[in-house]
Amino acid sequence: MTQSDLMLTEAAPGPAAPPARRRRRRPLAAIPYVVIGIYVLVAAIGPFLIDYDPVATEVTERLLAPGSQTQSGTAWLGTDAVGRDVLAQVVYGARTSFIIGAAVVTACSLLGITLGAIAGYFGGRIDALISRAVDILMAFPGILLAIVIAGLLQRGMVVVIIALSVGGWVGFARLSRSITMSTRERDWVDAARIMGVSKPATLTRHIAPFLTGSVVALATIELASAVLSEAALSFLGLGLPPHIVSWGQAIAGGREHLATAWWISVFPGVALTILVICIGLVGDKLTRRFTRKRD
Amino acid sequence: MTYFIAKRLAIGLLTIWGVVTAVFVVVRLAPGDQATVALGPDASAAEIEALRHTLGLDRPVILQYLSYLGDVVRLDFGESYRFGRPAMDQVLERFPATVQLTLAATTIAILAGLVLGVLAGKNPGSLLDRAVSTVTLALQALPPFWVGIMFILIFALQLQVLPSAGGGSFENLVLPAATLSIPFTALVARMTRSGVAETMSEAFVQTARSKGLTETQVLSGHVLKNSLIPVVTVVGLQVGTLLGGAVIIETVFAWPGLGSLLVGAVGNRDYAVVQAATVLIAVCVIVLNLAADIVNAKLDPRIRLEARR
Repeated sequence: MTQSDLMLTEAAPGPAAPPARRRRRRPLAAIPYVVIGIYVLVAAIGPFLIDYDPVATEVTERLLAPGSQTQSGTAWLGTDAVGRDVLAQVVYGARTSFIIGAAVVTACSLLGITLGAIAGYFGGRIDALISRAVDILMAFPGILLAIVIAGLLQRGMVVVIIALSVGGWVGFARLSRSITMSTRERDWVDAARIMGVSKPATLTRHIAPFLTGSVVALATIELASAVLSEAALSFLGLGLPPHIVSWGQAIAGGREHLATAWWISVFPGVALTILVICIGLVGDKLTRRFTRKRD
Repeated sequence: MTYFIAKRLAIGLLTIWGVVTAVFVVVRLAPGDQATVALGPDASAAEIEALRHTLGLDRPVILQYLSYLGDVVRLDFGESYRFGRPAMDQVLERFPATVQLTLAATTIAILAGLVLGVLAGKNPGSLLDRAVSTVTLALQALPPFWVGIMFILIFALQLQVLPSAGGGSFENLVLPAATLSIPFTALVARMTRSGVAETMSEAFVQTARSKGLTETQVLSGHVLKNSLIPVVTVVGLQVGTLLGGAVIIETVFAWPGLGSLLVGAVGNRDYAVVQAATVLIAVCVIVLNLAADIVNAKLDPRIRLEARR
């Protein structure tokens, strides 16, 4: 949200200039990438190693503390109010978060870049139309729109993805519109026009490549925000249906047992927090790299 | 200036129309219309049909939409089936609590953010600067609802110094306001930091120093004044995000405001309340954004000129 505002003071597009001087190597800077890598691995492989049935309940094993023995082994992070393994919820929740995050960012970036580039390149009436749509969506908080859409429609993964995408494409549209508008005036675009390159080809071959860096930076930030919003929706009980494991639902499930079984809410929340912070750090770094004016 | 305000106002009205229309569409797409929801699962088909007729739900969708738009203009959102009273009354009754919460959070955010931002910005590149930058980045990324639950766990259950839920008293306000303020503290700190860092290299700061002013006098008298403008306007423009955050935080702490009402209404398919609440939120966001825009344009002539193009 805020980062995307800062990004609108985008760099003048042009061939990426080589960094003026090599920065000192900072070994700590690699941490966010490593952490995100671990999450991706866990989300991809974890569900094959850990068996988990979100619907099954084991009443004799409810609210067990971390490290307790259960029939199926050791519950390293404890069990929840109906005897389900918290570690398994964290692992399966990671997969859900990545699936939804990736789907939302893909949908938002495709829609936003297309509309933004069209608006910026062609200008005129179509630009006015798209820009007004952007204005409307900018003014209304996206999470509220998502709450209303996901809450009132039939529960499901697709509905959550749509609900989060409705407001999410706006950032991409603003970014690609402003970059397209300034790139359009550059010499090589004029050259292409003189040589008779068609408008769609100019847009895809000669303008679109200059969107890449900023779009990747924004996509990273939007990924963090999509993961966070999905967790918030599921936490409110308005997101995913109960048979899909989600960190938000797991956190909500532990609310009533905070005094006796803190681990139910704490561990999924820690997993969510670390992931979102790491994605945010990477996004911030990318934004700085692809944005000349920085804070 | 008049043109500028008129343009922003037009966009504002367009936004309200957009929100109203979007909610109308979602309500029509939702499984179960007002009649089925209001009468519950035990109602007979004839009863439902009768209520649908009373509510006008058997008319063509386009007519329903137009009469709905007319009702919105007259601020008539219909009755809440759960509370048995006009939805707008219900919404307005909850509104002051939300205003209280957001104002408290904004105050905390501005005070804490300014302090952090000045500390970081007065020596750009210093260890303190980098520490504040990293911490604020992390604060901005924290999931607010989970932080709220951790606050409840620590302050209400372990230390037992503050109540975990409810509204009305000052003690009840502390935890939700603190939770809600976290991302905005980070935002204000980052804005202030960049403003102060930029101003510190200006010539008039050199002049102030060479006059023999102490570093504190330079900061408070010359630097801060000049770096506050963007902070104030950004805070004004973030009101939508603030209200969106409040909706979730209110639910965590059972704070009796607009947000917990809205989430409850969505869960219970109380369409009238959903529509009234979203419109009120949209109006708030638009009015406050407009105010921020006007302040911004007054301070910076470039914005006025850009709007004219």
